[in-house]
Amino acid sequence: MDEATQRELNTFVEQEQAKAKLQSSTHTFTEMCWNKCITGSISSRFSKSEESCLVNCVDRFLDTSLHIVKALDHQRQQMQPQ
Amino acid sequence: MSLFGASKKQPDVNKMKDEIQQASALANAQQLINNMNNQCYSKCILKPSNALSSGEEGCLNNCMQRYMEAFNIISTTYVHRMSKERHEQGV
Repeated sequence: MDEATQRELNTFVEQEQAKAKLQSSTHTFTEMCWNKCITGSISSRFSKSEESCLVNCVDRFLDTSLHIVKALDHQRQQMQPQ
Repeated sequence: MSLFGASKKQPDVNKMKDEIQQASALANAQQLINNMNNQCYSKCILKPSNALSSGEEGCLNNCMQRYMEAFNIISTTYVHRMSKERHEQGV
């Protein structure tokens, strides 16, 4: 395999891995949010509140992760000797 | 130049890409089916008896549809959020 082909394939694999990572997170979120939001019996369609709960669930989870990073960074700065 | 040498020299890159994509799609589908199985079993089969009742089967059918719908809603929300944040960082 020549160098250009090797490079092309590497880029492709990296893209596919990024995609797989995104899909894997989506599976995790789906399980987590399903447990949080779909608490009643299953019907032939989602209620409005179930649907918006699913959307909010993802957004608030990502907010949470941003918040934790920021809060830890804040704590670290306060602990550092002046 | 041997026959094998010739085929070795030019591996079909597109074929390799296809195979990688198929393997990845298969893994993704298996994950979805696995999770759906667990979640819908716990939602629909409350007291396992000696066979699935028609009510349980109906519940499973609804649950499968809802689980895939939930996956799509969450996927759309997640991708939208990621592209929004990437855009904000870029500014």
